[in-house]
Amino acid sequence: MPTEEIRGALLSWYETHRRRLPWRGDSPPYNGSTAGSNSNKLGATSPAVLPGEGNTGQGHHDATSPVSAYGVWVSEIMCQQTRIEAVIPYWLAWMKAFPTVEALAAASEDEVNSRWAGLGFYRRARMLHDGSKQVVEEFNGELPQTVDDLMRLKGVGRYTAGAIASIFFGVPAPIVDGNVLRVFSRLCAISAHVKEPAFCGDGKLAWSLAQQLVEGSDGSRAGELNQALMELGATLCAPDGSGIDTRDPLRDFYKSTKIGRDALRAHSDGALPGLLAHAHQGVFKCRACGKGAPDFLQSLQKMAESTPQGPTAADKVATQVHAALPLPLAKKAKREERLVIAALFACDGDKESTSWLLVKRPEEGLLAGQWEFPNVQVAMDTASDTVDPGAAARAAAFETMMSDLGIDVSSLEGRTAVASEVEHIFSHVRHTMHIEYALVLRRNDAVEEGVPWNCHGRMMCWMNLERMTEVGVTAGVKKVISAVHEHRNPTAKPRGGNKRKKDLSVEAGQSKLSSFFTKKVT
Amino acid sequence: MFEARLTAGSMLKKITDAMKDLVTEANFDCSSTGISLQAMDSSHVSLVALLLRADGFDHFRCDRNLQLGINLGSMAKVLKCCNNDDIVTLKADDNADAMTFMFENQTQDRISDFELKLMDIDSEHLGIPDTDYKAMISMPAGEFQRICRDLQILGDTVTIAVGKDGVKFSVSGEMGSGNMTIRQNTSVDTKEEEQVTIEMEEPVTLNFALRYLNFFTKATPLSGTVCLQLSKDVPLVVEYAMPDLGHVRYYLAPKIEDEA
Repeated sequence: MPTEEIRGALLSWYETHRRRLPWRGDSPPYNGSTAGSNSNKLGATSPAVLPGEGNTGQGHHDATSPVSAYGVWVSEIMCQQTRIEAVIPYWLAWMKAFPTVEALAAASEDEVNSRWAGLGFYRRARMLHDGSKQVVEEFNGELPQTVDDLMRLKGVGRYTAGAIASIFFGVPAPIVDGNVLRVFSRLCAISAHVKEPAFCGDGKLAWSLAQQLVEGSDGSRAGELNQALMELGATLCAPDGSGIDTRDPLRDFYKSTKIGRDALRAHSDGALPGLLAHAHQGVFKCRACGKGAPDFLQSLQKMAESTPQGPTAADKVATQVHAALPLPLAKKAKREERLVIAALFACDGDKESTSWLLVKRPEEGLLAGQWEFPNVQVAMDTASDTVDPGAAARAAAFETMMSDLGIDVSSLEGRTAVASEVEHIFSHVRHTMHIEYALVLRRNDAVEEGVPWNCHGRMMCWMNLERMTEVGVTAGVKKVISAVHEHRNPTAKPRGGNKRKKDLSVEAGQSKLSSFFTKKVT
Repeated sequence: MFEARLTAGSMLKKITDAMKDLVTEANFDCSSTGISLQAMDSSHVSLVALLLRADGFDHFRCDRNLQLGINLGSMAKVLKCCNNDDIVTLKADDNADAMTFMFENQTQDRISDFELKLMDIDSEHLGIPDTDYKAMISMPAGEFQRICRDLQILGDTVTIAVGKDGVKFSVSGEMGSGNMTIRQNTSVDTKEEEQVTIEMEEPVTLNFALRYLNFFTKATPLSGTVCLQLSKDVPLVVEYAMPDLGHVRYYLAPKIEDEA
């Protein structure tokens, strides 16, 4: 791997093409989107914005926050498993609410949760919160500067530690994420999938390649180099990247495209079988496994043989091989779970103060420690769709759940099942929810709204919508509430609700009545 | 106390059907002079205005001005239980949270009553300026319905051009284009409800979204004739008059052609 050339290409590309992001000290507007970076349409490229250039002429909303090690840390944790454009508003609100490590360490769990609500993977918020306390207690409120010290913080692994150390402190520490793995896989023709231990494991091939790159030129500009590598993996070297795009700074270095062209040439010379049989001797040699993976070689043969000859054949095969790397992961089926949800609410006279009965999830596992509606699983399947056990079985499950919660079913008023199923999809589980809702008349008077109590080892709480925003409930809870509202009062949708808007969307050129008639003051 | 009795119950059905697809909910404003309603569709492109005069009812009483917020879809469902020749009575107390619909058959041996919950609807009332329209067309309502329905096959936008040789409705789309021209037809041997009259001060050409016009033509059963009024750069008025009772009027904002 020609380290210096690659470094040069990456850094000069990054200087002119990097995305504007708040944690990089940029001012709005931000462009976190990676969408369209590989489409061939003109204008799909985001305009090169030099640092500082965006400040001219738009000083009025210059909301630049200073780059801090803490800010970088928050951004790295938030960006795990989450699209950057989704992260930006959360990051800005978070930094406003908890501008320093001390502020975060001093915040309550509820405050932290409420700022994270909607981002998913709530464990990250707790780790960040715990980590901030550690920084205050063990490191005098200053983030440590070395990878080893950083890794002592909760929720900080080699990747996050390397990111903070290199981006903020300029330490030449390697970082490897999914994007970087893809770049390396294509750059060095590593025919492995990204979960292959010999490839992505700690200290293994990918890490040593990353180290080689970041330590080049005496380890200067380590942060920029790491970010350039990741950003390239997220944009031009995304899964749909072609490898022959002239905007791609590494297009001359990809071994993936070279292999494709070689294979095509060998095919037209009739030498393809020989080349594939001795793959370990040629450019095909995979550095992860020592030889080409059989699957990869097979698909390579197919690509070379099936592409019709022509002036664009070489580019076509090159792009195909580029896209075939890294090898696809065996698809893991989502676990299917079918739940009966009990949405119990109590009203205090007017509708505004409807409060809902929520229970806290266990401190371990999915959505650890989050508030949710009482629910019970009625079916589970790892392979295929779950089977609805039927209304009677669901009602029975609901009643068992009620007696577990110490609620007398006969005290419920207007018990109704929402006819349609509600779906909520996590990264590895799909919840199909059957919702039953009911009004609880005799509320246990010993229990105050908003004050949690312990019921058979689980925390329960009556919460109104205001309180829910404070503690930050998950998107799943919000889905259930809106499904219940929808079912109870089909017309009580927010004004101009989605459905109606769809029916009467306004076409281009259509004028509105308000341009002709004036509003009458009544 | 509000009470209104209408012998022709089917009228109320037709009125509701004429509005329910365009607006889901609306306020019925009741006063001693009658019932009126004004509502815009959700996209604020069109408006329906209903007027039912007090003297059009067999019995009408409204002691205080009332605003009755009603979901028109629900009202249509309730009215499904009303036979076409039933007598309908609407009732609401001054501070009621529901309106009562009473249906009696002609022989008064079957009486049913329904209560429909009222809603709080914040409606925007628009002041509609008096406009001296440059063109007025009166034509059979069924004919207008057919034109709107047929032209929608070809495209979304209809161009209505009123000129001295008649009214031309034209549409063009990906598939092709089409025109329908209606000429004045007031000869003595034409039946009154088949007559077409065109009064034009100056030629007018405007574009409209057919989708809304097709919502408007749901009012066709209310009246034998429909009256269109147009002027340059103002909304089109489509009026279905109900003799002795009132009218349903629709306003539709024109589509402005791109400058380019």
